[in-house]
Amino acid sequence: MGMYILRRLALVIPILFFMSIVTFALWNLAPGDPIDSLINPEELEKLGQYPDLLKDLRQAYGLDKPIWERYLIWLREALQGNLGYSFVRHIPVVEVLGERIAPTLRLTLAAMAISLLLGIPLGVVSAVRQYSLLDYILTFLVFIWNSVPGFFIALSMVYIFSIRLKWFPAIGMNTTGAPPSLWDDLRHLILPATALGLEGVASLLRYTRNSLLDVLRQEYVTMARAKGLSESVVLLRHALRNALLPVVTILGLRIPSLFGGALLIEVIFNWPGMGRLSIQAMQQQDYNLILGSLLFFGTLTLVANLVTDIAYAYVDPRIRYDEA
Amino acid sequence: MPMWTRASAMMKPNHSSAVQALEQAVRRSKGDSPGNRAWRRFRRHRLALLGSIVITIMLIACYPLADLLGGWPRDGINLDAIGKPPGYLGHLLGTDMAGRDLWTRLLHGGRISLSVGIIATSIRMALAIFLGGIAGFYGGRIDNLIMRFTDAMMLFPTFVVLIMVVTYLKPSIYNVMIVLGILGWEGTARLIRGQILSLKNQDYVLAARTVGVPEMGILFTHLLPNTMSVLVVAATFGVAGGVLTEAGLSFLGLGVQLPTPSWGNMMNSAQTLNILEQHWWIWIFPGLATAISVLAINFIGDGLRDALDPRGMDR
Repeated sequence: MGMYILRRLALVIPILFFMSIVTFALWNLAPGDPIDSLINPEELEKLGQYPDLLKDLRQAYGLDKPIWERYLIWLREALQGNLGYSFVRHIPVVEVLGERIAPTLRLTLAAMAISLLLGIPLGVVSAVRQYSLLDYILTFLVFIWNSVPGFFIALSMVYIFSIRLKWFPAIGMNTTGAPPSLWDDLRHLILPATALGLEGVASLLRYTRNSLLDVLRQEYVTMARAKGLSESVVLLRHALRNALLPVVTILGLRIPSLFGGALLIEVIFNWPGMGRLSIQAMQQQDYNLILGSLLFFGTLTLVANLVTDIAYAYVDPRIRYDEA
Repeated sequence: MPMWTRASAMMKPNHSSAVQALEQAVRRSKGDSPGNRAWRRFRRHRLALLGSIVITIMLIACYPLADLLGGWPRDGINLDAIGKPPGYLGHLLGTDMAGRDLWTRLLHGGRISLSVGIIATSIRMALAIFLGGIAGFYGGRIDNLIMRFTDAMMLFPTFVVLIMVVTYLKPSIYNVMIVLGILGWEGTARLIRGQILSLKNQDYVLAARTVGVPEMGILFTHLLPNTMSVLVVAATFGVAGGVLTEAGLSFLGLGVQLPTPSWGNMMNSAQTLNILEQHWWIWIFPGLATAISVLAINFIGDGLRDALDPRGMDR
């Protein structure tokens, strides 16, 4: 197991390197550099009298060096936990990210909890009552859910629950100026987390249903029934445990799309998270920040995948990565 | 001459019931190609049939008939109707904040959104066939290299990378098509590789090799055509996914650029609460159009999967 983790980590690091090199190259080779975007074009005319000023500025920021040298400098600093300064915000990237990570994690974790709490029980019901009316309705709903854009569901939820019914606030993470309270936070969290989580419900429901149906056909389930165990014991103790194993991998595979969805949801709900931050950074060509947020998303995705795989091996003793 | 005619000729005098049943079975199987059988099963999938009808109507309305049905110029601005509700001054679905007719733009937007989905999927399928086919066919080191690359691509947070690349290239309809196509071939490539792996050791491949068919010929004329059913299903779901992703990108303003309409960018203005609240028709109709078309395509995909699944042959 230890070997396996090491080998997987050995795969993660080159991918992160690759991502950082490509991103760095892309944004550094693009026409225009941060200095250009800092200066108002109208002011630039006046600067014509000081031809050395722009050159000096570029020199001060190290932008006159060749690209590979700049990358190495960036890398050296990044390895020490310094991702440079945001050109637009004038504060260290690490600081900007630090502020935004917690809101994004709060949103995505809540969304995942909603997906699990709804998706798995509904999947179980759907499998146990296979071909019942409920099963058909749920299957149909999964279809609809997979077909409606997540952000459209989010927009509709804002329209219905906060504009028309006024149950929940439409934007932000908490009421500005109000004293922080758990209730206020929750009220702000419910809509975005549900909107994001519902996308996951559909796939979890489907996987749980199919996986449980497979398991229910196994001989040890027949055996358990033959022993005279009650149906609930058969289901919960014998079948469900095994049925949920493949679902663990689905959780891991969903993480990239979870962040992708969070991006749209954060924009709609004005959520001060990583997703909205990275879109702003890209629009402002704030490329230290772009690199930083991309690395954050990349690292988190890779680590989540690794954790999923390890968890899978842990819960399923049949899996032995070392022998493979 | 097939066996059954000889048998029936021999037993002609007393036409036993067994022979009759046999002849009947043969008559029934006339014109019973795999294609016919698949079509029969597809027809039985009512939702898939409904989906095909809906999509056909949408395609006809959006492509050849958009100008005829719309009634207004696509980007034409009616200064007397800025952000007016459905029905106002003959605007069937109302107008947007620039005074453009929503029904006309919905039709033209469908043309753009569906085209993006279809072209992105074509690029994606071409990449998947090429990489998956090569990996499965040659195996060994090439397979290992391609599959590790595929694994790595699968770990990327696709939507984030997508947004980065599109922003970098400057958002436009063509960039969206290309980038959507280049990212997202991984799943299908794996699928095709698996198919090729299981097909390449079959006897007919050995036979083809024996009669001297070159390697590339075996891959392209004997192996890949047999993955067609898997491909068709993957491509159908791919178009649905492409339409959804385009909608997301354009909603953020990073996809198709105004004034060219797409279902996604028609919803873009709903990011402000005022429009979300006061002008619901601006975002609800494109949203519904996206949902209905994607749902229809997904139904078709589901029907195709049922129809083309070889395990369902006896149904």
